[in-house]
Amino acid sequence: MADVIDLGKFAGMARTASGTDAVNVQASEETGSWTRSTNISGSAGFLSAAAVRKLDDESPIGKMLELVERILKRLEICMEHLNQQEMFSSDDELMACKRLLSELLMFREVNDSVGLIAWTAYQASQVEAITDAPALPEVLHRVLTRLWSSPFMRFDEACLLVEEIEGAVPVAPASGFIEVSEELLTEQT
Amino acid sequence: MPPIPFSSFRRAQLIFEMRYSEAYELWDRTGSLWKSVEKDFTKLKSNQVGPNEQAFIADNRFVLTAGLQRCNFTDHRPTGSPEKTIEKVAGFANKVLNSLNVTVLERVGFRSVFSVSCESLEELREKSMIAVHALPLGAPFFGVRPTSFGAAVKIEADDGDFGYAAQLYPQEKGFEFNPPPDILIKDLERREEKTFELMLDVDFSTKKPLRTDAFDCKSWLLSWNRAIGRDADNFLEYLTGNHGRRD
Repeated sequence: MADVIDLGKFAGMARTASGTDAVNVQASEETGSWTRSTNISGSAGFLSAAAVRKLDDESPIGKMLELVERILKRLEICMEHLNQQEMFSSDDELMACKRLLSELLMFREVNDSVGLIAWTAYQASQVEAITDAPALPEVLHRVLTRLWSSPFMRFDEACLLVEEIEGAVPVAPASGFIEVSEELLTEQT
Repeated sequence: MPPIPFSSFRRAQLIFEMRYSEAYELWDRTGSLWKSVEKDFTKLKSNQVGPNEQAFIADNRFVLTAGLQRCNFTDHRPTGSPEKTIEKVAGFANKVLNSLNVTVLERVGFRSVFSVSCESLEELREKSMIAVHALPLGAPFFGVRPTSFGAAVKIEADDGDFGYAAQLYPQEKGFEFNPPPDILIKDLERREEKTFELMLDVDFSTKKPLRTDAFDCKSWLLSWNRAIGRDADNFLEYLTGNHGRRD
């Protein structure tokens, strides 16, 4: 039986003249990579997903979060008008939201949760008038705020949020829903 | 344009790290974690394995570590497009987060090391002097009247959310191979080699904790990578003390 001698044991770094050992051989990963101490306090506020826009405002996730922020602002105005019984103004804002929600559909490939919520929110916004679903702006605001802060939530959490939206809209699914959802499923497979 | 532009650097190492509080599930799910990680690589070989941390070498290029409080992914030969490495990193990170049921990340770090090779120590020192706004050669301090010296600089900055530590430094490395006398193989002789490189080391990190449902590894790393490509030349020029200062 042949002996196998690991010659790698006799090879090594003789010296490193300056700086970090980060480019050291593979085995010394522990000492190599992260020498800087950090003082991150668990009690501090959390970073939101939107923070990534500070690094790169062209990233798809950054663009999506920016769009969600715009929808949330519209919804806030819509809710304000609704509280003051200004139905026409409120309806105008919901109409504006419809267009933005259709844009949000373009980001359905970010992940399945985003896709599901974007589609359901868009579908729900197709009500004839705000008076048909007066609870919708508030529910959409709550769900989209959750999407904004946690776009990479688990799919089962997204399903629960979608149920909330569906509970606020007492109408049948928009026409074309089945065709589009089938197309989405085909794309995923 | 800086005297040594970013385009003259080659990527030498890429390191990703996530830190989290004690992930006790590691003690229950180590086997299934590494079994699933194995599917993403041609060859996965254990390096240092213990109950609290396991390190594996993948495809003779990557080092992957999963531990109770952190996981690492290092690409020691980042040739080609960094996007491919980032795909692998993201795959590994997602598997760790899911397997260990991590919900909050205390720190996420992404470090890219770049290098410019030099023929000699003299060339290395000369390049480092050009790259960093250094004082004139020969000023005597601490009883030393230098006949040669190299310049290095390290800048740490953060805005409360993100931070970076960027370093530019000369690096001389010596490698030696010393076979013991009992290995009697012809042509197997003692060898010693040296390399001289000017290193640019950019270490990004988060400065606040982060919920995992707000974190997408691939998006974040691509964003950091694009930030390097966008700003590296300005940063190098800034170090020379001449132009490119960014407000």
